[in-house]
Amino acid sequence: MSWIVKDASELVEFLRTKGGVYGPAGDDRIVFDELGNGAPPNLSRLSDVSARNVFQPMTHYYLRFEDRPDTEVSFRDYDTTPRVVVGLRPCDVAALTVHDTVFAESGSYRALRDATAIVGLVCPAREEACFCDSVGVDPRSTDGMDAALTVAVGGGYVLAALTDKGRTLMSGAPFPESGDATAADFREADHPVLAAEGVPEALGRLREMEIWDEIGFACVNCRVCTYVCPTCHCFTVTDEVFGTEGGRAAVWDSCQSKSFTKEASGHNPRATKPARVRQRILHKYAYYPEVEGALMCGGCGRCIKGCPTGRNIVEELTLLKGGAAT
Amino acid sequence: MIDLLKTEPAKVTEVVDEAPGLKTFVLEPRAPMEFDPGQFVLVSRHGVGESVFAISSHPSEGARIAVSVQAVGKHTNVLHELDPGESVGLRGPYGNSFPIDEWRGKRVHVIGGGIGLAPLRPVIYSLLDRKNEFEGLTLVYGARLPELLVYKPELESWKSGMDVHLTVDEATNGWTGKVGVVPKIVTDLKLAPSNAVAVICGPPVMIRFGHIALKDLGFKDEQIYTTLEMRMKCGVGLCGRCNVDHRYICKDGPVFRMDEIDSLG
Repeated sequence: MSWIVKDASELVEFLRTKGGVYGPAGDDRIVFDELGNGAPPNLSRLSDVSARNVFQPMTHYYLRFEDRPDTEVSFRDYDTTPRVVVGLRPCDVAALTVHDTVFAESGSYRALRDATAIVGLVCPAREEACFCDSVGVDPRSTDGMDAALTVAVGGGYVLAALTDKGRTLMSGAPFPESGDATAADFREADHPVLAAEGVPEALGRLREMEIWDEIGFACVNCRVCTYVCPTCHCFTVTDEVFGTEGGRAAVWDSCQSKSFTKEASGHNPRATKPARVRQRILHKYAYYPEVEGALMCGGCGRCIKGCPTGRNIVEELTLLKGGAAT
Repeated sequence: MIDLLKTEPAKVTEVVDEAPGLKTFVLEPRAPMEFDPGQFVLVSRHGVGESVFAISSHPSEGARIAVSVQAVGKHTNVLHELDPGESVGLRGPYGNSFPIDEWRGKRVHVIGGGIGLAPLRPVIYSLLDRKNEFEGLTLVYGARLPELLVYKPELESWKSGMDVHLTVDEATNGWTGKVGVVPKIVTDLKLAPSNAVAVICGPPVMIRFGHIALKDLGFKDEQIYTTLEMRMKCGVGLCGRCNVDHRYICKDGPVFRMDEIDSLG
């Protein structure tokens, strides 16, 4: 079953009758946020930050207590009321399988995921930092989407329901059936290309640390690469007290932060920048693949676009692969 | 993943002053906690923090979970203010454990330094409970100063069931026993590698040189076990802190055989 949706804000209005709606919002800086009535998702380009916050809240207070001894501690689970995420692209949907894998044992995560329907966007155009197909993601794929939007010739979208969840979501949709509407062609652009085959094995062979000095030289420890990434999932746990109320929160954290591994004694196993740069790259392209058989990367290119010093993961992996070969 | 971080209340039933800046807390969990020697728990003072501690009590006494806490940071200093009757948050046990069953029929050398004896104490309890199953048991344990030796009453009582060798780096307070760092004592004692395993835990520098001493005596890495520590937040292999190569110290460890470890930092 498929429909013609002329205006994405009409779609949001309809979906809001089914639950909370999240999608890319903002103009200069596009991030995933809850969309209000009449607020159109910004589908004009890939969001600057991934939809990670929809599946792993940036800050979630999971324990609440009064700030006094022997107080009762209450547990606050994720909000698992039905909701819809609009505008996830194939790279982000592919990246979501990393969270599905890492958090598989968490009932809270699974409940959140089950309560979420994905109305994806079949990618209309390649962007300058995209390398999804280098890591095995087809930008035209609808894998993992419950319903998919495809930009139609002449404007608007064709919306197809793909799963039972998607069909239930779209029941009662006030949109005309798509008939013979056709999808617009995928617009190509110059983009980085990675010869990804053999990358995990090559990285596993790297022994000397000097190459990481070179790779990490431009890094300014800003951590943006880890905060825009859809596969990053590391977090910290922190206790905070506000007046008489206290809470314990799980908060996004970054392996690129110096304090990430610093111990109370002062000892820090990853005290240097090259050691941290190495950790991020090896975790994504060597360690995780060794266990799961897949790269921890959807090829969205946000880390390339977001880096203030122009570091480029595709160039770095290519260099590292070459370094391992010699 | 937050459901995996839920804490249960546990009551502090006993506080033991082990050494300056070092206390053992006996906790009574809501339900007895089954654990194996080498596993750890997370203990927390709500509003302050949550920290990882090796369980240092007897594995057959799950209603009494002991953790030995050195006051080094914000949270551990607050924990040190706890009195019996107060409660803390507790979760666990987590991690793998020492494969004691595999050591049957062998001589087991337990080598500890300072607070590094904490994760080894459940091992010693288990070994002594079943001491007839082993060819022999040795403990080499040391600290910088005599007053920093922990579990003093037990160091005495264990002597009836195993060869106990205590040492200090510096003899003060009338110490008349061995003097010298633990790796040196290991060398002096000429611990025999034949049909033996060694279990070592202590400060990183002690593990490094203890490892060298054992190798010099003819021990192979396959005969040496240790337990690693790294900063942890979740304890269940998710938060990313203790990730080293494809493993997480909290989930794939903390117990490793030396041949499973590339290098020690």
